[in-house]
Amino acid sequence: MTTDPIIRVDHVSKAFRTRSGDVQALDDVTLSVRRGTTLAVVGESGSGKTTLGRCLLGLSSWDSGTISIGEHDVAKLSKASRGDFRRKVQMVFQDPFASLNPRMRVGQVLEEPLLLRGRERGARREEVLRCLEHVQLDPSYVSRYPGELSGGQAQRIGIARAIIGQPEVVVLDEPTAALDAEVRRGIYQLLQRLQAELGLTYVLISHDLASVAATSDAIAVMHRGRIVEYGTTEDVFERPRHPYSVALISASPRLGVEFVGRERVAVLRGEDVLARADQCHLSSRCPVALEVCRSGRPAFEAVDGAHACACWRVAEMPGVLDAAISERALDAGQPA
Amino acid sequence: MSSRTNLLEVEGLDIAFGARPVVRDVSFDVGEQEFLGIVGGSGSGKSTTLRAVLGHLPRGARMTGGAVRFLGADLVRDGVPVRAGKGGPDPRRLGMSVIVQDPVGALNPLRTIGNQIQTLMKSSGRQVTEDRIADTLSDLFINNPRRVLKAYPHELSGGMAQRVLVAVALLMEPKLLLADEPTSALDVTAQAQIVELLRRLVSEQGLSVVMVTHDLALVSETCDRVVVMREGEVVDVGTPRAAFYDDPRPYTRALVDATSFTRQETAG
Repeated sequence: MTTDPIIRVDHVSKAFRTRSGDVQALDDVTLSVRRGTTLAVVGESGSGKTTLGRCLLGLSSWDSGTISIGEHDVAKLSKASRGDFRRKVQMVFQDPFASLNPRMRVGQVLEEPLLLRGRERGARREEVLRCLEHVQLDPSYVSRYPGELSGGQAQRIGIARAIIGQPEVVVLDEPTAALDAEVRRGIYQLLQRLQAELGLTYVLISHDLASVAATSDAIAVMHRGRIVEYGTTEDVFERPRHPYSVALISASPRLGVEFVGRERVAVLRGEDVLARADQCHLSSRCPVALEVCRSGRPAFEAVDGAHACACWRVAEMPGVLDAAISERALDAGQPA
Repeated sequence: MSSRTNLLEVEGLDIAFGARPVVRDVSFDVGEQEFLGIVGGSGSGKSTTLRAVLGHLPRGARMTGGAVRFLGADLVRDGVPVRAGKGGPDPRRLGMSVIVQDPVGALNPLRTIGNQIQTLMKSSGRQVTEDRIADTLSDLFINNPRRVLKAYPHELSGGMAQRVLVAVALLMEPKLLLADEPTSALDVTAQAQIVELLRRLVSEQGLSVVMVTHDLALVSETCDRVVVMREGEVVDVGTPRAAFYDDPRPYTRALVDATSFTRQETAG
């Protein structure tokens, strides 16, 4: 495994123009992903995580900054390099049924990328079968239609379709969000095995920080188009410094933590108001926001090694936030 | 536990779609000030059971046996949900409110929130002032209730729309709130707010809640007791601790294992 990054995103910004003004979907986003590792991009709806995924795939344009994957500058793909880029960068979608053509048999779905590359019939068949084996499905699946598959099986086909062209980077957009808990585990185990065997680099997009902690090497937490915290999974998950990361982690329910006797309170209350560019976007609902948070944009600064955070009160975290939350919990625990 | 009174009793409930049974011999009860969870995978019959309690079974489904009693009154007679009359509210269900999975879809896109709330209140024979509505909304951590009342559904986020629906449910002054996957369409931080709210309504206002969900972790943090369903049948009833850890049935064990994989760091 080499240590140089295969994905480089450098100061990328993108605004969507709406009637009520511009919405900054990506706001000066900079990150990199090393070959063979998984970066989880975590945030709520509207955080820009899916827009970032689309930009990585070259499906969306952006206003400024550069994105490169391997030797390709994604904004300046020549006609000749586009084919190679499309092969190397693939995607697995959230809803496996919506992303598979219901009128095509599994065999045809998987064969299509190979057809485009002009493979011989025999070679195509061989690769389709090898690919089904990779995702642990029986060869007989080639003649099935997507409608005959369970959610978990359909997502395996979605993964097979993504890897059949031997990609280097796979963007996974909430790959298990549409599936029952029973099959999620199998999908994550499969993705991890494929990564080890094929040396894949993953960008895993999710709204649930706790659920990606088991499968990612690094985590970028996004809020309103900005990366507010970045670090190794251990950094972000065990020692979160940004109130938004803390909110995401504590918001996600944990098995084994019983409510009885312990009133759990939400870290963030109310709604984000559309903040100005020169504010911290979280300031309207952050329990420890100060005047400075409303009057200036916090810098994205290193905390420790690669661990970085954009918060005015980063030096006081997490102590000051813990205190605010326990005060609130005490308040909620008072008998009526 | 012997002194507890049951608000809702479901006894031997059978439901079939045509000839195919989808809910078989389901029994559970809900006490006062209790938060009950119903968990199970897709197709376990958990939502169908909830709809039977509400008296709104999906088209083609019918009750083939069993009883549903709320505050002592039978809600089912000869396999047919008892209704007062055409369209009107059923007096026996007046103490019940419901919130659903897709809050934005449950609101009329062409009318403002305030207008819809007023109409709903009138149709159930209630007079509610705008001040009262605004107060209820601000109790639910809505910062600017007057602005929300003037808004149309598409202008609200999912979490905000769900809080509006909780407000509507509460304005009906229910004893029992039925919630069908109330947070599965929401972001985790919005979910945390809704769950904290429901929990507070139970502990501070004496409400009882039945929440249907596929999320075991949510149940383990939120509910006093849990009903585990699989393929239309009740597998287990008990506290989350007993049902998930101390004495799990094999199916529950499998569900817990599947959930724990993605949460292993948190479960610690």
